[in-house]
Amino acid sequence: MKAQRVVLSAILATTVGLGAFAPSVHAQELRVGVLATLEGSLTPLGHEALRGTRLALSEVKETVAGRKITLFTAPTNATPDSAINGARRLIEQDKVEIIIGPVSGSEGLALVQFAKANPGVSFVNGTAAAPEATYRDPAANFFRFNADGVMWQAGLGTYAHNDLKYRRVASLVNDYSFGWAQMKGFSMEFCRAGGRIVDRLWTPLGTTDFSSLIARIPKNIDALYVMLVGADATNFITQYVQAGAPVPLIAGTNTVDQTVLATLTRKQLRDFIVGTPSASPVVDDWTDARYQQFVAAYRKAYPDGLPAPASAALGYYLNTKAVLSALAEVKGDLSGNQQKFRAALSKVQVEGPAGPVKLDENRQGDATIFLTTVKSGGDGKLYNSFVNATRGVTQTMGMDRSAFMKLGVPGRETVQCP
Amino acid sequence: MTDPTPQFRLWLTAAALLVVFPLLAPAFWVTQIASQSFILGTIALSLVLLAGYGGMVSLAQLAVAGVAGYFAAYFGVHSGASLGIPLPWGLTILVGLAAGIIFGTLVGLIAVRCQGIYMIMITLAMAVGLFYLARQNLGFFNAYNGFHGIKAPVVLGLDMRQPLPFYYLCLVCAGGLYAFVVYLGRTPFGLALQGVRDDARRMRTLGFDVERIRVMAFALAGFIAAVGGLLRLWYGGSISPGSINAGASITILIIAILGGMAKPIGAFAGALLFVLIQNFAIDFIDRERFNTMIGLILLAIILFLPNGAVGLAESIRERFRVASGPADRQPESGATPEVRPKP
Repeated sequence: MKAQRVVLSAILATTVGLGAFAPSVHAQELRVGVLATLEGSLTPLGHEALRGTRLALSEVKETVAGRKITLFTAPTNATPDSAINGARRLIEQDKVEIIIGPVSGSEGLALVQFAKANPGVSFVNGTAAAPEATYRDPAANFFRFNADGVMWQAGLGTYAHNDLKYRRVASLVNDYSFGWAQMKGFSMEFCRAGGRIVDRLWTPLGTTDFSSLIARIPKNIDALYVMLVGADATNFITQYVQAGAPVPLIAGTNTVDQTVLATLTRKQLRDFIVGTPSASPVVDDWTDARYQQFVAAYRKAYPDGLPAPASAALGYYLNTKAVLSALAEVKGDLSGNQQKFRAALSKVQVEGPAGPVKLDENRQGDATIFLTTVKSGGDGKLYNSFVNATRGVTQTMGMDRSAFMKLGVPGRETVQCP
Repeated sequence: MTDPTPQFRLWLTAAALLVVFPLLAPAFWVTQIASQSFILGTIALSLVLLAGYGGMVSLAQLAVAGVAGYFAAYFGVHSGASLGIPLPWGLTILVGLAAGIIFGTLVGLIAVRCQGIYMIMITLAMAVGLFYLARQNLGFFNAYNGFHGIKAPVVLGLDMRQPLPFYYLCLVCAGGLYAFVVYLGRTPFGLALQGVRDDARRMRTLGFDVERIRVMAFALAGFIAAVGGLLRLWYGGSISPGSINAGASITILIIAILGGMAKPIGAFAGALLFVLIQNFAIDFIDRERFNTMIGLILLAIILFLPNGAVGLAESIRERFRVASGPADRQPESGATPEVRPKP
């Protein structure tokens, strides 16, 4: 019992003593938090995300309206609760007033609910692309300037059916919000064009052994739609090629983006992946001057980064730029529960690399989406080559809101071919 | 105990300080540090009950808390409108607690036939099994997404998730369960459990049903973990597979080891230490490396302090007492301070 007494006093003393470490907030600086996946299989995307945010910040020399912007990073691992923990740490410990992020779809859904419980902080998305975050039950203080996972697949299903003449495909997709969204985006077009999806295989994020899934891929199909993210994509492509790669791939946005292409170093893998079609908000060889300027700025700032910015860099760049533009407009004034800032953020038009972005009534941005194919450059580097661009893609994919809603919430069975 | 009065006075002071603390401290300290320590401490307390009194190390205690949380989420108010059956909050709590106790007992029924490393392995296997089930199952666990936007009960117009009410809720739960575990150690059941820990064969010879005592300990630990699980659910407002993965399960063991498993207070000492390290390690070390710091501290404690932080406090007190002279030495301590080197 004596021991307990000592421990108790020790605890009390520590508790009081450590109070001195509580951070003090300087009046002049603007404290902005960033959530990025710096652990787990989406780590490459997290690093890319930070590059995007830092690029946007360096454009204004980390200063808005005479106030210095201090950046705080919270690492997550793509699980919803890691995003909540990170956000809580940023708010309660680092005293940030704006949070940019997260990277991953299910993190985003969790953060929207967290945003509702923390109305004093503004949340601006990073690349999380689950449509529901800004669709059915949006939060008033959650803004998203990047497109969602459905939008990112605009044009791919139609192209696969009409141009590549694929009629029967199977799918292998990461089993979480973003995978469901991409599947919805691909299947709604592919089915509408007349194609059939004969089997849908789902696998958790972080899968390393794909052998049993590869064995389950149906034989009589024209192509396999694959939407795997980060290290999962690299692992799958390697094992699929080793297994003989019976049919060509149609790739989801993150499956052939630069975070994956840069990891395919063996010739056999590179030869296989060349020619794979995909759809994405980024493209590596578009000749548009403003876009080239963005790519050049990225390469200059990050010589050891990827050969070209991936979608995570673009998403964080866009969202950070939106925050900076709105802050400049209100001269860094976040008083009055950030009402002025949020009004400015809702109306701001961001000059993105692929064109201006404006928010809709649910605070979701529109986007330009590229149809791409993987090519190999003269230097041996793989890149996503421009096929065409769809401008002004909206969250409902140009459909009537209620008709779009009838397609269903993204899930394992959405969308069924007729 | 030769002199209970100063001890009682100290407990009273501590209680008073804990009651007054949130009125003086900033909200960050009240919620992020203190409330969270109580919650993690409560879950670790269930492990300390099993390990300290029963000699059974279970890695499934967080899974038990998770089951309670998942049931309370499914049968409570959350944002995923298409899933779940919202019940009145009183029933939600009962369902959550019952689920935790049942799952805890189930773990016990399976695990009590093993001992030592085998029990650790089988309980870890069950915890990991639950994690994979939760991650894949869409109908009840809502797969990868889990449940979000979970509201704490509103009692008589008082939102229990507001910093002050939540702190006192955690304090009352943690304090009550702590007192319960201390009391349990002196009951015939608690003594029998400690007897089973020390020599199961002798207890069996004496006519005790060893397996039943162990399973009952798991059921009680299940209740304690379930309370912690509900508090944790309201604290985070969400639950998803990441909340119950192997890493999180091991966190509870780390907390118990940090604090020391010999005494129930170790659970809370360990939890406070863990939460402080988790929150402030980044002030001393690179933000991406705070896990390394937790690992190093854990390593140091295992190597140098087999009885955890409580053990450290005990040995400091021992040295202090030697230094201040043998006058207030207690007869039952059994130590011979005269032969020990003075500090």
